[in-house]
Amino acid sequence: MTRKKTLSVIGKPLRKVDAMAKCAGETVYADDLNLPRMIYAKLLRSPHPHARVLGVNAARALTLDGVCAVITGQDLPEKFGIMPSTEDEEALAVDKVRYAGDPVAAVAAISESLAEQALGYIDVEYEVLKPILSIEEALASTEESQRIHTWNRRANVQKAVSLEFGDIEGGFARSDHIFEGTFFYQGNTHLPMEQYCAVGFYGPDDKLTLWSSTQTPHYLHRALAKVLKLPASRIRVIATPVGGGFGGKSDPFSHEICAAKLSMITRRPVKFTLSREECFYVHRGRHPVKMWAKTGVKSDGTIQAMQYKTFLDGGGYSSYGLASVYYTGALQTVTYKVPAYKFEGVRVFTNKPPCGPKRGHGTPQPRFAEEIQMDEIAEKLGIDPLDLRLKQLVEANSVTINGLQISSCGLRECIEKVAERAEWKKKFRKLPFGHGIGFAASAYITGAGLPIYRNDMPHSGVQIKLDRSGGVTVFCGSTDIGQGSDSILVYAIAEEFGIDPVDIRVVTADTDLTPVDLGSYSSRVTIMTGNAAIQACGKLKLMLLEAASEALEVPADDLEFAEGQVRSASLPQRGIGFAECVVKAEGKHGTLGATGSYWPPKNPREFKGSGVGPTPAYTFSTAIVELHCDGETGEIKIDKVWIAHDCGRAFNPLLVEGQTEGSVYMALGEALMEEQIFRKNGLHKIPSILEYKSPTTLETPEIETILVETIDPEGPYGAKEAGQGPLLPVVPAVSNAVYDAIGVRIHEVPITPDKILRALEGRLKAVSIPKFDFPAPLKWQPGQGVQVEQKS
Amino acid sequence: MLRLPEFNYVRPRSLREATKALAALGPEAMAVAGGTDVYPKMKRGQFTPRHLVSLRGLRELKGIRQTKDGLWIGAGESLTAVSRHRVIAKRLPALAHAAGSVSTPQLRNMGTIGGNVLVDTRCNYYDQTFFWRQAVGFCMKKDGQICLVAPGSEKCLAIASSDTAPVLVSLGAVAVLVNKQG
Repeated sequence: MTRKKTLSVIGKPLRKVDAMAKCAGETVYADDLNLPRMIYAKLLRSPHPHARVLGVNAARALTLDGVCAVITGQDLPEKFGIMPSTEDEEALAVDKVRYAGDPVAAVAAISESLAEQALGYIDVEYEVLKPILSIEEALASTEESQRIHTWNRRANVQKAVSLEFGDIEGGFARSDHIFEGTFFYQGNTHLPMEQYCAVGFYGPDDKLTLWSSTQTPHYLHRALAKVLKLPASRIRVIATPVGGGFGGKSDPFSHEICAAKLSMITRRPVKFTLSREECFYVHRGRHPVKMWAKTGVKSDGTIQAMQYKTFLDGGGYSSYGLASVYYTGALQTVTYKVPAYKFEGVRVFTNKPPCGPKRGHGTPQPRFAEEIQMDEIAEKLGIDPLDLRLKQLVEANSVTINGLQISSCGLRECIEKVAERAEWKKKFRKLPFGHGIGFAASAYITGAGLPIYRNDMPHSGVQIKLDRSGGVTVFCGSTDIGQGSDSILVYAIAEEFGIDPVDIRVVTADTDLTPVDLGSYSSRVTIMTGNAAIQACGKLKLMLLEAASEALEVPADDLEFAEGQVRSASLPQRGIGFAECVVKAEGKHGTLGATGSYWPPKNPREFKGSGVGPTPAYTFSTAIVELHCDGETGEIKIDKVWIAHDCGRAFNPLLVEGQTEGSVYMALGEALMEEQIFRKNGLHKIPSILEYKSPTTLETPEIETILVETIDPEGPYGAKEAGQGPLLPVVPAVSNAVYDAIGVRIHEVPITPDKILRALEGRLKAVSIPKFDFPAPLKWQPGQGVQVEQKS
Repeated sequence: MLRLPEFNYVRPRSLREATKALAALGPEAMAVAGGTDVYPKMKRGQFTPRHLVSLRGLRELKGIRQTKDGLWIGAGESLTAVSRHRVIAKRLPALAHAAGSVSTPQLRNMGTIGGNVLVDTRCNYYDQTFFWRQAVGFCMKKDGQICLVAPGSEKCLAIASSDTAPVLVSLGAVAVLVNKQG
């Protein structure tokens, strides 16, 4: 078989396979499900950020006509959590609430308003405890009595890590200049358009089905089995089309478990639809992070050593925190050559809604610090910030000091193209006061190299069935959250079989029907499901080729799949239609189906925490932001954003551009407006879209997207991620542009007018960094499989 | 999502019927025109009427007419209609601008000028769900004792949020009130 020279589907700006249904309003989201005899449920949430639950009495609620069931923490005592080593969540508080909004009871009733009303009839006795609301308070609360959780070793410290790569002391000693700075990245939330929703039904066959707007049906499946104490084989999780996730629908949640439990009790379908306000309490969004960054450079600007300390405000539970803390230190080394690197990070518990993964998971915060510091180094040394970077970029097929293996790398091209389009050289430091331009670069992962729970199985499985009609059905556990993962499967298979995408049906995200895919997180889906799909196609193609070769009397190595035919590559008029070929192959081989699997390359590192950072392929992004900043009012208006992204191959350039522009818009929200903030009593200050300010089309400027294709060897057709990486450079580029415009450095986001004015008046204080004794560093060097030494 | 609590909906056919209904139903009734403020506040438990008397479709509240004294604007006219009316745009551009600045097109299509003049005061401690207000400790405007903006204050500090009232006042507008006697 000869490989086709040109691609007919990949690289084309095709419509998403689910686009028409969405535009016509026909997509069935979780809240659109209406099952016979369905009842509605609501969660009673704690008004206190920190309290002991002394008792919950539902007797009065149960007397209301139409209330079907009430459950409390006693009904679901089993703990769960996305990371197996930090399972510290309860579906309903058993003896303690840890943030204002923490669920304590759930009611199911024949109408949603009755369920809501019944919440007022549940009596909860609380012993109110002093809430811990900041990183500093958490680190100072070392007494046993002040603990938010009891399982963790140090009071209110969820995780503290320390890693050292290369000769850090020597690196700083060799440096001509040392730059140190402190930074703060405020927390913010995902704000997907679709609010959380789940429907549970425990059927007469003693099987449970849960429909939910989730990014991770497989992990939810496992959590349900654990908490409900049901065999996983009797649980089916269906991820309904997700109206935006951005990381916020990646944990197993209370409302999902309670929908299942309430249905087990009532034997009726139970629906939860959370209000917008509740979404702010469920949260799992961007961690507020305080950072200290230190970089040592030679007088020509080349980096000798880099050191980071990060302090993450985790909120009330662990969620993905274990990974988040490592991510604040993992990818600083993946843009510029860093010969020595040290990272210390700590995540604390506070009495606020738990933080988790949001687009970029743990990496936008340190990238903000790193790129501002690079800008400051360039300024001090009198080097153009782009030149400073260009002289020390990481290269393709290299290994970073912390052992991360870079395959393809289009960072240089990203810098050059974005600079050219934005006319950087003409504008930088040449614009009048109040008008500025700023640059930043970044790197991101294409899929986590390791699964969330330790196992040897593939990260993605695809099953393909061929029909005698010539129709193809693909089954995969992947979850379309709007990013287009269903479409990616179709494009890959259409390309492999040379058929029209419209002849392919997709069945995804149903644990009964589809092979496991780990979920839509860490930008893993295109590379993992794409490769698995291509592998399954390859197995089927062998059978099809054998049949076609016999029928056409053409050797199999001269056959190609193109234009709906299996045909001779040298004599294209000799061919049979794809459907006919399927019929012949089925006659020869029997029923036609095949599976494909994908495992990421083996983790190149072996030390505690080494699972965070490795990936099949890194993407690279650069951004230039041009803005106006009013020196009188402090108001910022973004004129334009140029963004270049190395996506490996644009599987569908329309979708890649969409992801890139979506990242830019979200980044601008984080840079200028969005804040997950709390009152002194621990209550969320602004839990509504009215008061939580996020950009709309009105605030979103012109965005010019430049796609750089590096055709990665590991990617399907060379593709890498596009959904998260392009967010990263935009936020620091805004800060760098503000400096170019008005000459003040803002080391915090959001960059609000009051901070600008305080900075102009010299009153903006440097970010304070808490004192904390980090553990002794674990030292490791590339090429060493295991850690070299560890001080006691 | 937030559900609208149950209520009785009264739909009078004339202004006279409306005023009579409001008088008869007493403090448990509220008038509703566009509903852009009333319904969200009912969802959040800030308003808890048992009866709503609809002012929609009352012919007496419709129309924008030139009179010998100036301009007569029906309280039931939508903000969109007021903002786009030719004579208002020409003679009272500040009013057209104010009416056109309210919220979004959808809400201006539903919201009326009468409702905007009478719009409830707004405050970040008050315009919140029942859960939130309960968690923060209710304020004197609804269910509580103190003003959370200024706990020492004897009166509620929520501010008037009408976009059109200041313009109407500055233009010397006169409001015509009706009760059940007419």
